[in-house]
Amino acid sequence: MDHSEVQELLLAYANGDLYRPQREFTEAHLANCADCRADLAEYTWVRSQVTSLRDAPITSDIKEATMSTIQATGTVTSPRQGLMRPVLVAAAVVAAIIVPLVLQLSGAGPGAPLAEAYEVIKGLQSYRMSGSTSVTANGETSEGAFEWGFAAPDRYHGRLTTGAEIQSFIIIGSEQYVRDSRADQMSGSVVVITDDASSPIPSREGTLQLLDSLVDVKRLPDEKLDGADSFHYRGRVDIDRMVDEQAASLDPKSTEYQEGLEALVVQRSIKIDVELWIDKGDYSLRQMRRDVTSPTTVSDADGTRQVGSITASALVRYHGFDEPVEIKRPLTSSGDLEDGWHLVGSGPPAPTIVTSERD
Amino acid sequence: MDEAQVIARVRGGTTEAFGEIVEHYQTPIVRYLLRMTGDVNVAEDLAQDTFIQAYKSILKTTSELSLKAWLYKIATNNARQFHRPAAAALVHSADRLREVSGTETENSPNSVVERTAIEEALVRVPHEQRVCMALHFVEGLKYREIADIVSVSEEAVRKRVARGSKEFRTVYRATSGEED
Repeated sequence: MDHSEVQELLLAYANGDLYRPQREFTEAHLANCADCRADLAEYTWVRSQVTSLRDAPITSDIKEATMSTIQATGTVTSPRQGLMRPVLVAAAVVAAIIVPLVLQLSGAGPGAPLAEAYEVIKGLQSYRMSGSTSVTANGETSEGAFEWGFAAPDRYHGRLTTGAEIQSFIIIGSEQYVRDSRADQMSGSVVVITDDASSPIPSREGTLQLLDSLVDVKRLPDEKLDGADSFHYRGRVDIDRMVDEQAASLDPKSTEYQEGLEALVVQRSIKIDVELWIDKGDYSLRQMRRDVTSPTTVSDADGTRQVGSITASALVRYHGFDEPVEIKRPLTSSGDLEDGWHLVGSGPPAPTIVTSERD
Repeated sequence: MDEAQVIARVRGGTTEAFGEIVEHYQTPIVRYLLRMTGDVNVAEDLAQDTFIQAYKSILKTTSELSLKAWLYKIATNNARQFHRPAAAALVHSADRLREVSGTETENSPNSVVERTAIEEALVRVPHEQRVCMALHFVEGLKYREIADIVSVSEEAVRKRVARGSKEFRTVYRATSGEED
């Protein structure tokens, strides 16, 4: 262990965090190194200074305001929402356009090959997706291409290319890491992969929900994909059922109840047509095409009204089933984010509280 | 407070029970967010966000983290969205020091001025380092707990605290006029 290595240990030494061999070696080095003694004195000083902030008086009482917000709205609204979180706001805007519904699907599953495909997807440990997207709004069309990998239970990584812009994503649970080829575009670089069936590139859960939500399913002539015979189906997502369920979940006592109902009226005009190709041999989902036509709305004092529409299409190929996929956080060996990556996304999942940890 | 019991009551529909969690943890969470933002009003707003997010999630998801660690993790994510512009921070710092010095020096100990200088120096340590310093030095969390909260290795936490400490010293000297 040399001088530089001891320097690395000095803070831990000041904190009393070293095991005995390291502590003894550090002390032996300190006896003969004035520089390290000076650094140690500095660490000790910083520690005492910053630790003193524990005693700074905190008189805030946010309990009443917090509980009022929770109890008054039922579906809660952040007090600073829209003011301080450009990244999250951008996500909300994108979601509002492309993912207009919060889908909470239930009910009977699809029949025969669709039900088989549902079970196959549910049991996969990993798979890959690749394909293309096309979004048209206000007369302008934006084309994109994507490649995604999934590893159970909740890891995704991939790349979305739109024109000259390339966005890379790593999603681990609620953590979303984003790297944008145009650094100045960071505030708008939010990946939208959701558990909603209407997401253009749905998560596994979203894919399952989509299969579970299809109505008016028609079987089309079988087709060959990559040499394999495939069932070919066309159907549509049961929007009315989703809207009804969404309306039933609103709290009539909420101050936002009427506004929520008005927003749902507009959403009934959403149309999602789906085509599926399912391998006749193993019932794996080989390909999916989705065409979404959705209203764009504005909400103001006069309520929510439609101001236009947006169409989004996605053709997704599924492959690499259960092949090894390693999806890791983009961190250096020292634990820092690798160059160009940003951590966005919502908070972590809630805990299962089994033990009590007290201050 | 029996956290497991309180959470079971919340999940059972007794929303008021969540108030016990807010009451128990509001001081450390506000204190932590104050260290991260340097502004008590913002810290209180972000703390409210933190508890509201916790309430929403507590009903539907699970995690292996303890409640305390989980709240700090949400708070850390919320604090990450807040970045006070450096120039504003400098003005704020100078004004605050003048304000505290000018109005309180005669009747209060130097510790008030010094604490203000410490707070202002800490808030200007780079964010990732400040997270680890605040959680370790002020909130008293161990490196292992911090590593879980910020999703990095314990070694990375240790290095961030070390680097942050050096940065703190430099900033403190610059803002307080202390000479080497």
